[in-house]
Amino acid sequence: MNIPWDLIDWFPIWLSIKVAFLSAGLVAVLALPLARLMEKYSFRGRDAVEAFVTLPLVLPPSVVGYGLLVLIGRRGLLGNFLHNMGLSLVFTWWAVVIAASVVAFPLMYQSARGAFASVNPDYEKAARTLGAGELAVFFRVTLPLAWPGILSGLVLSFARAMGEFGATLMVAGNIPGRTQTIPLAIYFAVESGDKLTANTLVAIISVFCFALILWVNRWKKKYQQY
Amino acid sequence: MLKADFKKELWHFNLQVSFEVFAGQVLVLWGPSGAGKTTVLECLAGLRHPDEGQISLNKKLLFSSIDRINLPSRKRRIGYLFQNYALFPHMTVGENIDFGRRYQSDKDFSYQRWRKDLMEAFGIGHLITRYSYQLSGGEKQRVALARAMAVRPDLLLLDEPFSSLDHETKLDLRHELNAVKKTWDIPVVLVTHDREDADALGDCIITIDHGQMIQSQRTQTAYNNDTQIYTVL
Repeated sequence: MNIPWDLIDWFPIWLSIKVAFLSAGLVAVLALPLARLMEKYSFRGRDAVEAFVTLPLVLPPSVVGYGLLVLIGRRGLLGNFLHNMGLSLVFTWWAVVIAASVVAFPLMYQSARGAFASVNPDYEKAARTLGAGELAVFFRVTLPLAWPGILSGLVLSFARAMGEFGATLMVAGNIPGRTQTIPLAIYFAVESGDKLTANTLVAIISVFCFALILWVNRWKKKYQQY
Repeated sequence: MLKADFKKELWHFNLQVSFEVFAGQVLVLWGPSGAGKTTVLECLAGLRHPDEGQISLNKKLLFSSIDRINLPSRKRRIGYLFQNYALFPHMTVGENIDFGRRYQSDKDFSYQRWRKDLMEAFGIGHLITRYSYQLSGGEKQRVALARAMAVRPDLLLLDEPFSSLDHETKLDLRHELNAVKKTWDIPVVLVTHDREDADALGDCIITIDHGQMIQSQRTQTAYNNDTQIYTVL
């Protein structure tokens, strides 16, 4: 097949990659400490908090999208406050990042939670008796041992962020050159009969995700030899 | 000298112990599994919190419910040998042994020499670049012991050190433990459910069941001098 490269709109590809990286990073920064705290401390209402942060995984994306609109929409709870400060999130690429992060969060959280729980507490105890403080225990023992599970979570949330469609459409719209990600571009290309764009984007995202999963699985195998 | 006298409420029974161990002495806590032996060690090490009582080591208070003192593990200078050895699987033997190095503060202390002595004493110099999954049970244990001793503890705690070793390795290890006792001259508390191990190693044996001290006795070993201890083993 002769692909007319110069006719392809590269913006959705570039935006999707940027959003996926940013969301995965953001989600990791928020989900890791939360998973660690929930693992270590039990308190009243822990189960409720746990259920709440897992919610975006099971709710329809349109519900998540609507919820986000209520929150960050121009007349939303947070949106109104930002609007008064001259800021607006909806229909910007930041809204794309927020939608992607919210739906990816439970995947990172669940993976991290499982990864921390799988670390035998004896290793942490041993580190304490050898003189390590809690921060050192975490960074020198817990994190390296939980790393394979955390990496799985990172990859899952990265892929989920990249594939996000419903919530994104609701809070960021489908603005070519501004908020149009690969999944949105594919949907609207198919709808308007633009097979070339649809085929190219489907091929690119499929190959990319396949390569990513292949790499992670091979790396995990190597890392988990002990 | 270690002095301990504390209580802790566990979900199925109350733990209550009181004992003293002098430097160079081995106190054995003997009893069936689930009797609360490991919990005693964890309280001594600061990994768990007794409800009330007092623990002191060489006149330094580690825990006191009255004075509201509870030193964290990292400040207690206690060597702990875990039942499963707990060697960090992502580190080599050398990295395991050096783990606590950076938390040691005394400047005029030659760590390298201390480390070399430990390597020789436990015969593990050739294992330094290996990972724990590449070690045999006996090797793991010697490495774990060396790691515990590397931070120059004032007290050594051993949790079921022989449970997963064959007879031959067990005898070697008893020998090594006696060397530890003799060379480093610190109090040792050992937990076991095996009466033979208890008799062979303990200067004093405390029988524990359901968290209570049922019996305390000095063994024959304690009445002999050091050279005879070696012939007994």
